[in-house]
Amino acid sequence: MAEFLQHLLNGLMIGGIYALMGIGLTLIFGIMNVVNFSHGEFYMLGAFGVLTLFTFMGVPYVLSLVLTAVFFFMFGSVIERLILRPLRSQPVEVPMLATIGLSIFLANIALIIWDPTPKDIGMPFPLVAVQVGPVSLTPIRLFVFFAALVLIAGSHLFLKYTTLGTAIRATFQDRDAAALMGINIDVVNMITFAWGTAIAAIAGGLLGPIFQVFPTMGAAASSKSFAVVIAGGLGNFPGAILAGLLLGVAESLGAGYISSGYRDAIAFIMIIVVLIFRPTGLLGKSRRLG
Amino acid sequence: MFKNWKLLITLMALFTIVMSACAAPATQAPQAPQATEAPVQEAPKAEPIKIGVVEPLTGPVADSGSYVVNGVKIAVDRINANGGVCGRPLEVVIEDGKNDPQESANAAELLITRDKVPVIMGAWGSSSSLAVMPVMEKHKVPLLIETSSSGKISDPATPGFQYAFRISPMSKMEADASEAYIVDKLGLKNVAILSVNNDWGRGAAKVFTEAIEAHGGKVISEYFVEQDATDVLPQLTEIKSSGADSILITTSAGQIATMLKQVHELGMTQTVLTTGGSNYPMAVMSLSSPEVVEGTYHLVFYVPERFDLAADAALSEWYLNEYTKRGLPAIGIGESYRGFDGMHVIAQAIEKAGCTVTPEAIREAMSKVEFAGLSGMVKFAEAEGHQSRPNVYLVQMVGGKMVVPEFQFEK
Amino acid sequence: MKKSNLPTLLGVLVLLGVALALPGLLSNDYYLRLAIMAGLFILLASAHNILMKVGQLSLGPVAFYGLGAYISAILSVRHHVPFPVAFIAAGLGAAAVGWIIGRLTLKLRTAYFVLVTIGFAAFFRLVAINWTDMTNGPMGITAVPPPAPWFVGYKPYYYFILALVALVVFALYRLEHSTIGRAMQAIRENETLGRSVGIDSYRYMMLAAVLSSFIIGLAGSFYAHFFQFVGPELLSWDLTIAIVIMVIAGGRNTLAGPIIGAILFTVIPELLRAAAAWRMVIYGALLVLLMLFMPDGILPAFMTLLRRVASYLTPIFQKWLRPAGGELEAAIAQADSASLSRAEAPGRLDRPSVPALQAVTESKGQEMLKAQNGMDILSIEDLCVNFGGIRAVDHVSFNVKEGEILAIIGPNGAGKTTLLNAITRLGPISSGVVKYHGEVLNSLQAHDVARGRIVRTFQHTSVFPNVTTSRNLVLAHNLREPAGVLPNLLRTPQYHESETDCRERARQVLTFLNLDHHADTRANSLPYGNQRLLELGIAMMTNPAVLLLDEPAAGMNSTEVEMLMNLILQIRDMGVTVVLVEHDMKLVMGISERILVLNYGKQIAMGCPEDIQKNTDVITAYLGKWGGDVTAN
Repeated sequence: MAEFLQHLLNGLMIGGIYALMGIGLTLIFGIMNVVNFSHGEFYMLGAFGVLTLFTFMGVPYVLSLVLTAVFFFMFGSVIERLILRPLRSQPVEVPMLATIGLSIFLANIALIIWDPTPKDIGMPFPLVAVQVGPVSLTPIRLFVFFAALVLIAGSHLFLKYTTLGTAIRATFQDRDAAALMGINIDVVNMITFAWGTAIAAIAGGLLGPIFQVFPTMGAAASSKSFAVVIAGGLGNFPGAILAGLLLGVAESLGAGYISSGYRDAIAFIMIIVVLIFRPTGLLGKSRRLG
Repeated sequence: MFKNWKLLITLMALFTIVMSACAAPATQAPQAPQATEAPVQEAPKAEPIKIGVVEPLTGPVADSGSYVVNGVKIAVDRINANGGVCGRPLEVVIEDGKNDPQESANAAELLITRDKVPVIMGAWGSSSSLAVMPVMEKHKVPLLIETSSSGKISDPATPGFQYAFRISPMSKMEADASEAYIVDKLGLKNVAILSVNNDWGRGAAKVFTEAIEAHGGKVISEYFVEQDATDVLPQLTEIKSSGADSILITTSAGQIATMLKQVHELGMTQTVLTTGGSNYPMAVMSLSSPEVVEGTYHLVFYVPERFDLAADAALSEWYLNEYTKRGLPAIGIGESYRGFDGMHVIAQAIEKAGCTVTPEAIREAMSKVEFAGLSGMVKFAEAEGHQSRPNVYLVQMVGGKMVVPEFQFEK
Repeated sequence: MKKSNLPTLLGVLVLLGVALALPGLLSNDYYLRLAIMAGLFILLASAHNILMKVGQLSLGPVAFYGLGAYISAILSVRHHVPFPVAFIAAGLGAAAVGWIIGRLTLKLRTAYFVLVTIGFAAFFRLVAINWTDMTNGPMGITAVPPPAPWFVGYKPYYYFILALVALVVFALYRLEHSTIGRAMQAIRENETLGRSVGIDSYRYMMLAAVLSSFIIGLAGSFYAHFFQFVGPELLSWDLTIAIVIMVIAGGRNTLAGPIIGAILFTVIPELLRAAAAWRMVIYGALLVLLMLFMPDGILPAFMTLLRRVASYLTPIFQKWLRPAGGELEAAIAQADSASLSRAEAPGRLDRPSVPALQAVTESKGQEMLKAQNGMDILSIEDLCVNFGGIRAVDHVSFNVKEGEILAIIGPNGAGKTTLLNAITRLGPISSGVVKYHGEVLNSLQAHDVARGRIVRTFQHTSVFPNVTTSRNLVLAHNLREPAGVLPNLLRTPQYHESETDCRERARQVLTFLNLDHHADTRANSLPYGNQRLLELGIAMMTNPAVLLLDEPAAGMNSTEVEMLMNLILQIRDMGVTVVLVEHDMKLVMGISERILVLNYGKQIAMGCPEDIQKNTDVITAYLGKWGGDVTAN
């Protein structure tokens, strides 16, 4: 039982990050109809951003996260303006391939800037196991989990209660109608992509201290995010949150009880099964946002 | 009209790349990002001997490839500073194999046909080396394998076997060397194995299981993780509650560091032993922290600070100094020695071939090589499948330093 | 067609000659090896492109590549099966798995399909790594024997792959310029329209999946015996990306595009070795630039450039150029929508005169049809269609008599289009029966209904947008052509017969609709009225027995409506039964023999125009809406 609780807890902790990665990706797909393959690279760059600020320059950890987020918000806007906006009228595979090119570009630029050696961000909190009842946890994992929750909740409130958020939701419902109502689609797209980029970068900065930072770390993050987005239903915001947490728990329990190298297959099996039997995602047909 | 311009520009960019690449054939070696500029050589003016190197310089294992290349560069500089080989300087031509079989085979082909190299060192991973070997056989050029651990490489049935010579040990050799003490002295009685899911990790899991069981120990669980996996808490949670007294880990230094952090997070007290040759403990520590690695054991083939354990103590001391002087990443020294030893083996083979710089002569001379390197005496026994048998040492991390426990030397 | 083919044929022969002589020209084994790799990638890219032709992007080609390689390696290493058997088994094995995965996934479209294929590729890779008993896991399978003892050096491999490439490309060329290729283009352009003119889109997608995985499986087998080593790296994401880049950057949906892409993107990464550490950076940047500036790919971009250059030069060389002609032959030959210039100027709206009556249909003779007139060709019995809680069609029953014009009218939301969808099986039927010549249609699919000669048009203009008018007609001819792979590949007499018929019919339909002068105009640059006419033409190409028109006059001006009336009457006179959903009362009252009135899904009246105009229920339903129209009449 203790073991089960520990698995559940581990799963939820990592699932929070999966959900955080997932909401950015799902919103970018829902609003812009772009399958963004560079999401994992933004995650990787975010981790390097925190490494540079926190580890190399001694900026406090939380401030490093904020600065990284601000920088990647701007970075995302530029990418949207330069690469994705010109391709908006193209079939889905064209912007998709452009983001694949971008991901190759970014991963290898990072290889040149920071060299291939894995880097340790260092612990912003002491790495001690705290025994809570039958399970043990560490302050950093708790911080990561709650930061993910706060960001997810913040995104939700932003979409629900701000004018811009309402515009984004309207665009999500019906792009043409939204445009006719005077919503500036260019702005909505740019904000969405920039926000998704910033969220992915923060996710990288959050997980950086727990794991390591290296230029090819984005690939694994990408595939997990896609699993989350598909299971949640493409473009489905609450679906992505649910699917993220579920994937985290499923992987934890799966690896614990199934063992072997098939653990990573869980994400892909989830993709296949959901798409074949329930292509609209776990939460069903409704296109919901916020 | 604007669209036309864009089109033209892109076409021109394509054209320029093709042209510029054709015009300037790649002869200079790619610089590994961390490598400092090689000092100017007072090498003899004779025509250099070109030696091919295929290592991963991009992709997921680019770090390891670049460490090996660092070792290669130090070796070449040292050899050239001492007058080169047979009065001729060495020149390495390094190609990126991405640790991808197809790319590595292409790179080897390129080195043999374009640069006419008489010998190649490579190709890091076993899959890549196995894909390069048929190419070597076709051109009858010898291949010095520096990192791969697969038993297949030393199997006479494998295409290209006659041309492959390996300085890195098979996992079997590691297990053979350490089985005398890991169960009885280290106390690995109920072992959980945590390995990277590739030929290397699986191979190690198999031979160590045999070794442990032969000495009355028991392997109670076995987990394989992808090489880019970061979260092993689920597996560790299982291990923690399974009653295992020890964990045997085989993977790269980076992944070991992540695993050890999580061992620490769960407050686990099991004995940890890492194997595989890419587990340089100082690297693991620099990727985590001294308290995370405190007390862990590691099987290594090269202990930089213990000059007396190398086959040539003076060389070992010189190497550590030179490596530090160049400001190369401390993490990488545990892997770089292979490039260093490998290049010296090649240099000696050329000398033993009577300075006949042809592939066939070098291949024949390989079996005569006896090089006292950083990781023991390198010589290739035909009976062991052109396989050198390097030193294997157990080290323990104590107070942020590597300690070599004496019990391993007791017979 | 024959004349214009000559330069192409010569070009192909020259290329083939160069390819044959290549090993002699390349002194260097490295280049020969690259040539073999390029050949391998041409196979992969061309095969992958087959799925692109039906509009589906797969990111899982490596699953079949790996499968082919493993099948071939395991058979020849463990079971000592001779190479030809292992080679064919690899192809068939991959095709079989392609069929299964196709069955599971080809219901999905766009991003959903893309992502599920990623899932399969990743899953196959994990199986290759973890099923160690079969695949030897990450250790891979070594010592795969060469195809034959005399495969020494690269030359035999080169000629083997050259032959394979030539065979595959020729077969793909044959298929592309055949019923199958045209059906695939129709699906890609407008799947719903394609189905409504009798194209079984699922069948062609399955065909594409099986064909594509078969070829990729063969390529995998070749890889295994060439590299003599098979490991799970074969199923890597990088390789998938490489293949997709070759197809899209070269020019998807074209025959030569993937070939050019495969050669370029085999060579470019090797050339970029000169850039050392910057190699992959440049590669990524190049990809982004390509997508930004040549989203259709290198080949189409290059063709556009050539065409522009040609258009500057044309006036100078005009006197040597033959006058343009044979646009239909060109349309049949032209399978490449992307190569069509996007800058075609929209044609001026011409008011078609009433065309000469022509036997467009294979009329069995009007007399015979007249004799049959009065028999029920279509009967709808107690039909209901529910969407959630809403009953869009509510217990509707009526008959359509052979040779009549029946109009269905009703206010917006009355369920008229839903009714047409139900009859043509594009939409659901909740209960009730649709009978055609006494046979129940309910269990059929849309394309079957069209093959039974019930064909429709759509409320919102629905044509094949990116191809010419004449090509539109050619694409709609599918159900009158042999659909099998062999007749199309071998070009049997039956195939030639249908080609002739297609050309003949398209010419007649063009003349009938007075669209001759627009034959070469892209459908989506046609004036609106002409697009609506083209829809009619697309339906007429199938030689329908029953034609269902969904608001054909919507958006037309009164002159155009008058012309349309004439056309519908003529179509009826050819023996086609017409069911007309329309709001334009002038049209409805002018030509229909009987009228069915729907309101809120319910049938409220049925009768001749005079009765309907007097029917109080109908007047109530419409209120004053069309009262004015009636008085105007």
